[in-house]
Amino acid sequence: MKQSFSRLVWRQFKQRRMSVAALGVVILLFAIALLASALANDRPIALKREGRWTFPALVYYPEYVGTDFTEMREAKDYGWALFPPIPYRPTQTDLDLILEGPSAAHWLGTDSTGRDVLARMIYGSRISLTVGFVAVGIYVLIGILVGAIAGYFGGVIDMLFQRVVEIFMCFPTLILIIAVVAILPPSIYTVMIAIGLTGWTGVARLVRGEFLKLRSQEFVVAAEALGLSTPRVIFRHILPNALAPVFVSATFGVAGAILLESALSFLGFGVPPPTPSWGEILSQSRDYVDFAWWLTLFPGLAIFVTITAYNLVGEGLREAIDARLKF
Amino acid sequence: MRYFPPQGVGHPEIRCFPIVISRFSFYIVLRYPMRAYLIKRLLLVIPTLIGISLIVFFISQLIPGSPISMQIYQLSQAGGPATDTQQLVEELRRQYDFDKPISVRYLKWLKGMFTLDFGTSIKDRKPVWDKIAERIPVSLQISFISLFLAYLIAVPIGVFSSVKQGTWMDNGITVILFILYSLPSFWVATLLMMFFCGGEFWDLFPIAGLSSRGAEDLPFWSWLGDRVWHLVLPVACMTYTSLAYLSRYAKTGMLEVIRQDYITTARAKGLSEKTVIFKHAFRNSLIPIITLAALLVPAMLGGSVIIETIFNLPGMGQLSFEAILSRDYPVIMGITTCTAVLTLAGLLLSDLLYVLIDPRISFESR
Repeated sequence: MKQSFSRLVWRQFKQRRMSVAALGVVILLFAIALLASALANDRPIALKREGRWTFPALVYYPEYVGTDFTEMREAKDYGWALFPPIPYRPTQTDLDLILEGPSAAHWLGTDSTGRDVLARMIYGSRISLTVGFVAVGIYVLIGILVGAIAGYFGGVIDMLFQRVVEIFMCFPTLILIIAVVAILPPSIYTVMIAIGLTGWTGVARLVRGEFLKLRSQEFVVAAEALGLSTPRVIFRHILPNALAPVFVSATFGVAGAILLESALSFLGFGVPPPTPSWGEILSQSRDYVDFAWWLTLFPGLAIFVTITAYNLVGEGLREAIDARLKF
Repeated sequence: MRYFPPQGVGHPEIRCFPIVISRFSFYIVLRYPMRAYLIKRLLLVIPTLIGISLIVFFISQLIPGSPISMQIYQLSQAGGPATDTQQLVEELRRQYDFDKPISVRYLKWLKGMFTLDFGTSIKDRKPVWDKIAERIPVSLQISFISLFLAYLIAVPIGVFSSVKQGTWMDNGITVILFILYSLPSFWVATLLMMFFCGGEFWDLFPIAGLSSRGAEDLPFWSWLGDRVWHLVLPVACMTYTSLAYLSRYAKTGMLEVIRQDYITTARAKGLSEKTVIFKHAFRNSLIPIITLAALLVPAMLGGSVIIETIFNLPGMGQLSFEAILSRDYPVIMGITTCTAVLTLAGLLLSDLLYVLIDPRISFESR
């Protein structure tokens, strides 16, 4: 009956079509983030020139440093080349095409410095995903550690833990994060750390609750009676049984972290420019809110779809795990 | 949220509130578990308060730009008479108690907190508390209206969709709420602004602010109309976010109650479905959602950073955003302390309400 847990959960999960579709969206977003440089680039994916194959979009070639591929593409001055579907870099400006609406050349329009919005959104998905996963990774680790210790030892340690959680809950999250981001040097890591350091209380409370439940069960008593070391009992015997709800909460957490990152970028405290991020494109749109609807609609839609997908996957997981618990 | 069966702690206990702390003893713990719980809960606020104050104090000591360097900077900017800098620093150090040990400074700072003296803003030299007091009514009116509306819609939705569980109407409501739950409020706010506030599309609502220019001179009803007109979009944005959250909460609360044995009993007695739902289930399902309101009060005072910034409303959220932008640390610290203490009070209130409203709670486990 090995792997029976994950197989049971998967069987339950499969029955919710919405969640399976959402999982597909999540995988698609991963693919977009991974293939960003082949999807939106001014360099061709593959280029055959003077009998030699090169892949300028994917590999760095010193001989192409001065080459203007856009000019080459427009003049059709190449032997054979496969250009990406969006032939623009996210930071490539075109001052002749400032704040143009969607067109055949720029599918989702251009921003105030003539950069292609779609190209920026494709690269922005990388920021969203990395911030989402790293921030949640940080706080899940902290939460598990703190929650496990508080739940296992109980007593004074638990009392102390509850005070710390209460103190953390008392500080306004968004203001706390903005303050951390404002004090530390601006970078994507600062955003991840700020979200990670402020979000662990929920996971910690969850793990503590599970540990309190599992603490007195026979298998724990047996493990202790065998004389196993305390860390071994905590991490090898109890923790695996307490992880299922943490996993669900982490899925929702990724959605929350992506939302927080875009809100921070929207307020101007996120990833520093010129790095593209969905929230940053949205924040630009505030200056042209009277007409540039493409700057608002598309990045917001991307955030919305991503968050919905993660939330749906989380819902599906929760239902699947709950159903498993009923057996 | 699980409801515990009666544990012999009956209603008379509720009348014992307020408690006399001098009677705190094992006798109370054994004889009056509820009273013991309340006392314990109240006493536990003290370490949290101390923790909050310590954290805020140490951050205020660590942040760059001490009041001394600020003063010297301002003096040099003002082009005052050239004084002996060393002497000036000494004087300022004495003035701000930097020559005293850190514990003395902490106690002095704590005294300031208790008397609502958070220092003066770096930006305009106004006392921080005055700035906060001037902003709270703005945030409060917006969040109060939106929370009121959200409760007004969320509770019926929760009851409705739990009664009609599994029907297409319930599924539809669930999907709509799920979408609302995932919609980023800053995106919705920007879209609303784009489509309804002039520009290329409709011009229905004002783009920013709390009232039109010169609105104070208008007669009351026109003033009120103007204010409502300005608040429609921000209130709508804030309502839908809390609505999505609250109705999910209301629905799970109701489903949790309907599953209980006493509801089955009520149905088996032959009571009408209406009586069962509204007299037996509904009231009990309200317990968690009412105690939640206590937790939301500090957030109401704190306002929404995002919505207030987008719609340019002079509330607490905007104040904190501006303070962080201009590194106005006394203001940031003042707001953080106020919000933290209020949230703590909210947590306490919600715990107490929970115990007072629902006499079935077991205290041994808490």
